[in-house]
Amino acid sequence: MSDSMGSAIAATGLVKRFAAVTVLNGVDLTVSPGEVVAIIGPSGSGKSTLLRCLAGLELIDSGTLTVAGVTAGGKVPLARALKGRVGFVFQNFNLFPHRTAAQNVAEGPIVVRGEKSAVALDKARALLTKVGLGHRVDAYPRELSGGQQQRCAIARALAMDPEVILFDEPTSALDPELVGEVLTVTRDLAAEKRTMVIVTHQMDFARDVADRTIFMDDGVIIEQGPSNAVLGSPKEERTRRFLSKVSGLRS
Amino acid sequence: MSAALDLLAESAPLLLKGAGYTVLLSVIGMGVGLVIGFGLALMRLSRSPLLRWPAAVYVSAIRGTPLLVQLFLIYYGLPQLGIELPPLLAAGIGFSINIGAYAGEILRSAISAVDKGQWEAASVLGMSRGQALRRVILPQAARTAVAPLANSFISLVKDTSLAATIQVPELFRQAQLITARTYEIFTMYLAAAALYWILSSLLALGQGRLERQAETGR
Repeated sequence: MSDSMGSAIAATGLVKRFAAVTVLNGVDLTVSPGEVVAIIGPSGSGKSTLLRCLAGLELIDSGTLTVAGVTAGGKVPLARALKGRVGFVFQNFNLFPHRTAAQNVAEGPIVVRGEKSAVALDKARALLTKVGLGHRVDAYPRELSGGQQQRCAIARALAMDPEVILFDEPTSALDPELVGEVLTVTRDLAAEKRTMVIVTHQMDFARDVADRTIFMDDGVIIEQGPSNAVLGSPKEERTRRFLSKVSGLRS
Repeated sequence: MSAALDLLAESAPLLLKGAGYTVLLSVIGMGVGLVIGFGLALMRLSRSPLLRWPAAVYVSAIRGTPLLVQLFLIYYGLPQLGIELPPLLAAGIGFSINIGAYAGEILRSAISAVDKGQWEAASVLGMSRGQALRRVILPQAARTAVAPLANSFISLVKDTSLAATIQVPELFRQAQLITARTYEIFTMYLAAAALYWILSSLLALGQGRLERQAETGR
């Protein structure tokens, strides 16, 4: 127990099944505070499911999981017990369409933390300014571009002062020209030494911001290590094949 | 022609009084029906079969039987079990129970239609199911539900004419009473129809306004 106390995330033997399909087949993962971890792998490899388990969006079938000091499997569902201490950035943003950018960001602090709405909205505007949306605080999500929506969603996660932020392919739903602005914001957060786990298809980005890169396939971790090593000179054949396929697509 | 106008002028107060009952019954039916419907929707979306089942049976039974039969059961049937209700109360209860089933289905489908990602976004912020429902899901579901609920309301206004059969002195009943006395059948029923049309049109106007508001989303 003592080594999981110091970690932001400590998971052992995670198994997750959907009906007859085993999506996670015994995943061990430890993330230290301040560490940035990228997870790569082909689609269907279980990387998004792993991330969703870490946030309590999926219940695990077996294994142990402690995130931000909260252990899964208690009486209260993990997501609720975390009370926003784990931020989650969705592939398709999932902003609240009936609330402005500032209201979206302030919603968690107001509802979950009981903050006064004037205070929460002030903080929300500051956070939106930080992600470059200071001029759009009163816009509704449908009035924002995809990149702006995703930056707003990042600000919404930040508003809860999360100990860990999980990113589920944050740029996959974006037009190519909007990817950069979201990556820049994410890079800034990494520079602040925030603990982050990022599921991504952007190999350059993983190499650039992640201290460690994990390659997953078929519901297990195939290989992990410093990003440069895993992405530059992978040890495993499957990692090599995946990386050559991805770079082949790009060139 | 002028005889007809005289008759209309003479019966106007009675018809308008009847229209008053029509509006009253419609408003009660819709108001209470919405409360019942909201409860039913939550029950049907619950994880517990003990809540889901009774709600499903209620909806099925009410939607599967004629409103006229329901009204007769309440007004003429219940006295045999020792429960005697005055006409207006019986009609109010009948319409509320009936609209409740339809409103319940409309609200349930509107809540289910909200993207699952909205529940998830609320959940990762640490919201409970109740908080997510109140703050995130219902405001969005309400928009979807406006149009079908307004349609139900307009149908209800016309269906309240069935209350004439259980002695409620609403619009249609008044027209019947006047025709029985004057034999001006065509004129009186045409006048009643005109009043129903006016009431429905007013509601349709309100519906249009509500829908535009829901669309612009403020």
